[in-house]
Amino acid sequence: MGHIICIANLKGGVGKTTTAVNLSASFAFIGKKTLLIDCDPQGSATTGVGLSKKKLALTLYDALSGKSPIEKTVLDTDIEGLKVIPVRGEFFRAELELMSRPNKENVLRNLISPLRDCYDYIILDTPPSLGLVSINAMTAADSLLIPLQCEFLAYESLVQLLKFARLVKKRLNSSLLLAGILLTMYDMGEKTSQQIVANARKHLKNAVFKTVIPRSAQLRESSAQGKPLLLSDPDAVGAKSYLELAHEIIKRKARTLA
Amino acid sequence: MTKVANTEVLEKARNELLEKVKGALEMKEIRRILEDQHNLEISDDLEVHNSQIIIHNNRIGYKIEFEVLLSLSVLLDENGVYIPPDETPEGNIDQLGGLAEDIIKEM
Repeated sequence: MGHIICIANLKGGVGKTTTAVNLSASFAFIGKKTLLIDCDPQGSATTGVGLSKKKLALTLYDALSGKSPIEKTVLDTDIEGLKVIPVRGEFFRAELELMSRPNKENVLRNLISPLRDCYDYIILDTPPSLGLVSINAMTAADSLLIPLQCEFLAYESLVQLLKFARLVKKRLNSSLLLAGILLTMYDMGEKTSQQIVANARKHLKNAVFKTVIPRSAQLRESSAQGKPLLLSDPDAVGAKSYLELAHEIIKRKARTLA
Repeated sequence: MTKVANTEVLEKARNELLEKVKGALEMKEIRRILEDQHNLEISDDLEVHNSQIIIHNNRIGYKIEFEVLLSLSVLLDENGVYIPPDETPEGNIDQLGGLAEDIIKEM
């Protein structure tokens, strides 16, 4: 059965979508069948894997609103082994529509459950808010991956998100685990980056991934170009870091199951 | 008082010695020491402001004073009220780290 990872953070611009896209690509590159589900109405993960939002026939919204079976919304990408369920702007409506649904926190979990057996990993990219979509993503997930930008203010939203995740675990998804906290946008020359890494390692210990994602113009540009960095420049440090992260998650998962 | 040496010559010799000491300083190390000692980040070149020969623990020492360009900040809220350092992100990072640690343990 596939492992579902929810990538979440309250803040925007911390590397959520970059992580979702590049981690998904790395899993696929390693040979793991991977499905990336874009749950953010901004649709950055959708364009990040090279899809044009204008040309989409079906999206996650169609499945969520009962207009299409979820299987029909799954699309191929340029990376073998990586598929995607895209979104576009209309997904903004999902938040409101979910409000009136019975069992509203479990809609996504029920929707994607038939897909679990088809993939090794299912990655959920979430919007930077704690609305019903994010609650649905955390309720559907087996584990939570939190990208933490190497900046002081990022720490405050980390605590908020952890409190929220604790609540979701208590009330909606008792099997939710913390996959890990991923330090992103690390700049070796910046004292702040060094302080954040030191503090995270001191307090959060093994909850922090060993892999650290560097601040990288290449990662930013590859997202804009609609290609995971692994596809455009596999030797780039950013691409290698995400590959390293994929291996680390696979090892952690094996240890948990052992 | 019986003068046994020329004051100007002594002063010149002392200044020359201090100049040689200043010239021999490993500025990279000095910068690191000052940054560590005062927990600051020096954003510009270090400049010697003053130097003197002193007695430290009954031995001759050299006291070199530096002038550094510092970028310091003060935080205030929308009402113009000063926000103390322990309420700034830098100040409470350790506290937040501890809080996050507790929540993770519960999970």
